[in-house]
Amino acid sequence: MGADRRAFLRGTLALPVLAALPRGAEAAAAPHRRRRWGMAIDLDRCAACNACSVACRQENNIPSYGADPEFHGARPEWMSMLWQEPERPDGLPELLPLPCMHCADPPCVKVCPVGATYKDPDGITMQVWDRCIGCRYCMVACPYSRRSFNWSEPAWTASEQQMLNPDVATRPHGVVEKCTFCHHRVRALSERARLEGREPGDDELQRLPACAAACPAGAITFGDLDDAASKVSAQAASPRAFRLLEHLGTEPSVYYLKKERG
Amino acid sequence: MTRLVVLALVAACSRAPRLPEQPIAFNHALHLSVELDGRRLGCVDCHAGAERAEHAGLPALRDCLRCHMRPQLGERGVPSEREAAVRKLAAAAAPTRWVQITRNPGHVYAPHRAHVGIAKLPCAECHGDVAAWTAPPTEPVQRLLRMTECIACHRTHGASTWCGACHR
Repeated sequence: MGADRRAFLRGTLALPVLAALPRGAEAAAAPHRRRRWGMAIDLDRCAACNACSVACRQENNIPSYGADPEFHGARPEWMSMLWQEPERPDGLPELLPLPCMHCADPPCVKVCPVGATYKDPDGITMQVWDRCIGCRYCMVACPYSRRSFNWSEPAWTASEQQMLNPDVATRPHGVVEKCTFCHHRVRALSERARLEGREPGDDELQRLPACAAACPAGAITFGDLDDAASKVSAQAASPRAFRLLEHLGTEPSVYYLKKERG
Repeated sequence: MTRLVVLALVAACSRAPRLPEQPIAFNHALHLSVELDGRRLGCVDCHAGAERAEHAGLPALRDCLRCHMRPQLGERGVPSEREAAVRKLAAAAAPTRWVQITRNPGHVYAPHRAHVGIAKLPCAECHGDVAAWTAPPTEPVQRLLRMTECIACHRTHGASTWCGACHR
């Protein structure tokens, strides 16, 4: 009886609160399924053609600074090829596509003194350009060197101005920038799916980031690592899967599938 | 006399920047009172992207001509000046070059589809009482929100307050 009364009281007390909520509150407060975004890169398929890094540059308005020697080795890079020493003396170097690892325990977030970089609830390591003071602690902390500093105000030619992607803000001089797993694309897809009363499907997500969309060999797969039915979680569980510098305990969200074919 | 001229000049210069003139002196109040097929015209009839797209958009001439294919005559049975402007554009098949007056800063992502389509907020919540406008505004309409207002509303509605939800 006591329990019933409590339930009744809870109900009556909750009613005025619900009625006082503004219109649309129910829709906006609808539970949003939490994700753990991750990526798998199949090195058997990767031909190191660099299409991913070119697409990333285009998508995220990353300045190139051309052949200016002043910026040699200091150009912002979100997705680029890591050179590995060849195993045999006569071999060619191996190339590894290297986006941000979006670590579950990111060292860059721990050292940022102003909270400009943070861990998104869906597992993306984000960077707020306007909050960054350019101290570059995060660049030192990142064991994968996946953060870049804008040593100069990006200069765009008139035609480049026309080609800037309005979905991604350009970063000013003195700010650190990094890969966001094309967060803007994920955000737009989630909104469109929500309007239709559904969750984004794995087939829509697999090639959602610009790098994955551009890969001609389909080597890059994006998706939810917590979704047992997703392609990326299957690849992450593959015996070929490995992560970079796993012994550091950063728990990267990017998995590589090691080469098995010559 | 000179003093008067100087005062007039100062007054003229200190006014807020005037907006460029719109191709048609659109009357929002009039259009929103029109009934078509048994229902009243709404914002989404002309700003077609408001519910499904990031930008609400401005109507193209062909959207105007859905109703204005034949001149809409006023109470006195003669087309108004605005109607004449529509006819002129239609005759020239010229696009209506509306001047966009509400624009968010480049680092802000405030998609209409999330606010109108998902959260079902009334347009006036962010844009003010546009339904009362009888002529286009001549000065910038500063009903855009400060971030504290955005955050307060997001908290009330249980929407995300992570930076990445609203920043590019």
